[in-house]
Amino acid sequence: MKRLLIQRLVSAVFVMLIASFLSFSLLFSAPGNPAETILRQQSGLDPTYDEIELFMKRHDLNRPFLVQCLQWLYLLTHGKLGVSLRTGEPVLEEFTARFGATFQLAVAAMALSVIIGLPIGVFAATKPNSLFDHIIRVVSLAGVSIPEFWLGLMLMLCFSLALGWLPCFGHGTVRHLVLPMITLAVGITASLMRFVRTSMLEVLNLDYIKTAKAKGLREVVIVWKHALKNALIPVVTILGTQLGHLLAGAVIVETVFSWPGIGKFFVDSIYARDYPVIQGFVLIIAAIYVLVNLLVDILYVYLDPRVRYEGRS
Amino acid sequence: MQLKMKGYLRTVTIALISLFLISVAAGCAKTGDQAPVDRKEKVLRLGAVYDFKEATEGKNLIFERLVGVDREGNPVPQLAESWDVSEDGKTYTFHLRKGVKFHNGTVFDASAAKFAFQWIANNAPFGNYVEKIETPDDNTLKVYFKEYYAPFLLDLASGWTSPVICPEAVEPVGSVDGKLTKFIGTGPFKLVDYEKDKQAVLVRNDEYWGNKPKVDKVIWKTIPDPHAQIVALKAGEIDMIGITEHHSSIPYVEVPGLRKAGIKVEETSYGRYQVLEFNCQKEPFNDKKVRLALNLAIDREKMVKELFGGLPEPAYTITAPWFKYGPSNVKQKYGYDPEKAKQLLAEAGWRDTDGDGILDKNGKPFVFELLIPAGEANADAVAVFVQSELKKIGVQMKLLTLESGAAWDRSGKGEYDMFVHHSGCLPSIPGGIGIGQKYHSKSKSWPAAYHAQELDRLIEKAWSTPDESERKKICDEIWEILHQEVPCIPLYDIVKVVAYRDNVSGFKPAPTMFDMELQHIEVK
Amino acid sequence: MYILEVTRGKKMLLTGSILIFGFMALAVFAPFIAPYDPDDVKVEKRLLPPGEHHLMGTDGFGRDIFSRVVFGTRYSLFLALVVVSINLLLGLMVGSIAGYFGGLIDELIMRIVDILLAFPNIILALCIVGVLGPSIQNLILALVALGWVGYTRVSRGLVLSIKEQGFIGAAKALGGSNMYIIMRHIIPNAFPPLLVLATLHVSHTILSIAALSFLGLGVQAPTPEWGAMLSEGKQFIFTHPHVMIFPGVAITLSVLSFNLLGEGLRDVLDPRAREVLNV
Repeated sequence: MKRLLIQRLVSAVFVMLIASFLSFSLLFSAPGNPAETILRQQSGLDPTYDEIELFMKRHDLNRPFLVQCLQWLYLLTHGKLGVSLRTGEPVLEEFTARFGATFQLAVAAMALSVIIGLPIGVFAATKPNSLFDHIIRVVSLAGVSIPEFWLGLMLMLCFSLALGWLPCFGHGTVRHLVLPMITLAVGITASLMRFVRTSMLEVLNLDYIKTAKAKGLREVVIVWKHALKNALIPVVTILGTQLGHLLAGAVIVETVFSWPGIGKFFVDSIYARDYPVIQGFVLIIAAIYVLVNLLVDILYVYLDPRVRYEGRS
Repeated sequence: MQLKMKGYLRTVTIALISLFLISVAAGCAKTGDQAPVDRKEKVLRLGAVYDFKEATEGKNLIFERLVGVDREGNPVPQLAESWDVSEDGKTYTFHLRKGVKFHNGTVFDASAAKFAFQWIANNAPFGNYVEKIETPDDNTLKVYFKEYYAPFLLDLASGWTSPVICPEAVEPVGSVDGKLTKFIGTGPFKLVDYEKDKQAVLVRNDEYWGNKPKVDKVIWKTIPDPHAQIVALKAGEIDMIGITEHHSSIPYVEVPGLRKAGIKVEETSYGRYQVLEFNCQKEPFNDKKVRLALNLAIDREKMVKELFGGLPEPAYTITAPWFKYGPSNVKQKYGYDPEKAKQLLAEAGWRDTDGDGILDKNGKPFVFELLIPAGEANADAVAVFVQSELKKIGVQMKLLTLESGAAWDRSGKGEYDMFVHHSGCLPSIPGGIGIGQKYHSKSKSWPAAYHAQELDRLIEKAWSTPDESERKKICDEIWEILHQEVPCIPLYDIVKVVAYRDNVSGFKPAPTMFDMELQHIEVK
Repeated sequence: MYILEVTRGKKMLLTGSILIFGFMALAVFAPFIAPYDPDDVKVEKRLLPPGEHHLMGTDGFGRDIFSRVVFGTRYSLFLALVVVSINLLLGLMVGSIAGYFGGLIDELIMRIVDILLAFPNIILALCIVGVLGPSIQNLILALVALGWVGYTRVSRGLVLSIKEQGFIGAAKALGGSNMYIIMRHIIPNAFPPLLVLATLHVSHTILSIAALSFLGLGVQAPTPEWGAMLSEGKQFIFTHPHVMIFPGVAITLSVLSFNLLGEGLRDVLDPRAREVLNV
């Protein structure tokens, strides 16, 4: 177990650094200059050549590519992620100030999806080809087919404008959370229902389940204790990926609902060529992905004893 | 590790449900910004697209400048009550207003002004031209220039360039190279609370030297999506929108709907026109006739009526004629005359020889590309309209929208046929006719704009003479030449639209699009 | 009740296929089906609600929405198919190599996969489109650059499990070269489950294309692509919602049809394929 962890940690660091480096290189080689974009956006006027030069000098943007990379690495070893070119605040602060909102939305959407999707998927699998099962299959297929941004806007149209029940922007109370959370949860729940159902169906067809049935164990016990554990393995992988994406900031939903998370800030920083923010955020997001994957792998260990003995399967 | 089979599923379920509840509850625990407002307190809630600290407009509520500017571009007193300029234009003597205090109680006197000025000069365009600064007494600031720098007062009037800050507002304290960390100024409002990307709370500055605001509090709420803003306005969650952005954040098409819903909407022109810049340095637009032809081919009246409900005015000059140095003398207007346009094109050698509906010359069809920077207000709508107008005279325009960084990169290199832009406005020199600006050949950002030696000479002459009436005469000549040469296609006046609920009264538009005059506003 | 039977394997396949066939027909015969020119700007007729002359109403420029939706099938469908085909081939090759050779090559390839998975696809899309300019080719490039990764993982898993099953051992014993084995044994066996994955991926890609165009990073105006239409229609959502509703429905239906096809295929194909897919 310990060796596994260390191995993962090392490769995690490797992955993080490379991802961050790649982001920086890509953005650096893209046309467009942070000085110009940021000055233009903030002042509202075309920046003069002198203003641009001054900005570049102030933020060490004139140095060659490799020097900037090394500078950033140096800062990193001191535990700093640099300062945003746009706001002048430390990158880490920009992240933590907004991550709470993203985390809240991600967890709420994920939890809602699991609470609804998991039991329904399992139940549908226990009654294959019944009316219920068919309805669930239709619903889940529809659910994954709807484009997220369109759904968000339609929900907004219906519940905010037409009915006036819910606010359509902002952050602060439960009522604000509802629409963005539902928008995200629909896709995940639908997908989850499908996966759980498929996975459960297979497990339920396996020999050892049939044996258990023959032995006379109660259906509920079979399904919910034995079968589910095994069925969850692939499901957990999918959930892990989804969670990772959510935590990286569901950009479109955040934009549509004006949700103050990291996603929108991230995209705005891309447009502004705010290199330190991009590098820092990609690093942190990569770390989050790695962490989530690690958690998923640990869950594997609990769910599938085979993994414990064979290492990575 | 032996797993307790029974407990595991239960634990997981409980964990999930509690996680869900916690995250939801955490949302409630955060600032309840829907908290009922104290009846007696008069609060003005603004909906803003940008975060308070990111937007110049926000800064301009807290900080003031030495001089202000009026709508036409004349400098007016602000923190400086009056000033004298020497004959040669190289020495400015500012007589500072007495009895002004910063928000933290520090007195605004000559030494404070000197500090602020030095801090500003570090970044301002005029910084390189300043020779020395003197404070002969507590209320006088003298600035000596190495050479005459014409736009100095306009630069001082810009909230972006020259906010007068308190020495304690920077870090390290009192350092002219310091970074602005605290918002401590002399303005009519004080910043008391700020949450990134969410909102900022300002209260009235009771010690303000000028007209004290009538409202007690202003709340700046960050709502990035303009439609969400409109919904919030209609629902009564905010009182006023559109005032916090210099370009208009309210789409023009929404205005009739807003008015119908009982919302007051006011539009103000700041002389900023949306224009299509030609690349005058290469085919096909290096020919004046072609440029003029395209100008005549577009029915601007129809465009503003159909696309914008008639809200903005169509524009026929390069920039607003009513500016102090604006093209008030220009008689030629680019009207709507598609027949003449076709004729001009034919004279320039463009005919439809193969009958495919597109003009051609020397075997090449008249096809070009319009470069649109993403985010330029209304640009997409306008582009499609212009495309269809040009099709009628046999010109094919393709559209290329690039995200803004890439688009401006290309424009800076002159890599475009036509580019969607806007003419300048206050507090910089409108129309971009200054030294080193758009129409000057030494411009580093506009190599493809129209340039000419005679134009350069005139521009340099205009901005090196301290005599204002002389300057006006020369600017008139410049505008004559420019309008003869047709460097761009002016389209319409990008008016700033402000919408507010009927519980708000006393709204007055500010002289520039970057300022807000909230002092007269009352909230019921 | 057919609508419920729809979710039975074969019927799903059938329904999905019919729908897809319908969309393909729209795409191919668009000029004959669409009543108006999708790019015909008639500013006087803008924002008309659905009515007798215009089945789905008109958009902000007076263009007939129905015609634009019909022509839009070309962009969404064909683009998605192209992207997925490329991804499939690429991922299959790389994954097979990783699974087959194992060891260091496998480690290296999976590392790269991990890195790409950790990469926010918006940055990649933005940079590609920014550096190279927004165009259909570059959009394809952006989607392919990250999309092949999913197939690699699955192919690798498939190869590993096939390895266990002795085909390979036998072939090797008979003296087959590595390349031969990969081509003749592995790839044909891996194809069916990958096909299911690909079908499902098409729907995912259609959504991605729409999302990117919605953000302005995909197909450019005035091309009648559904995501771009949604983006243009967003400003009218409160006043003229029909501009947004129809393209959204189009996207949902087309995505749904590919999902039906994929699910149907999955149900109908070798059940062993399902097992492997879930790994």
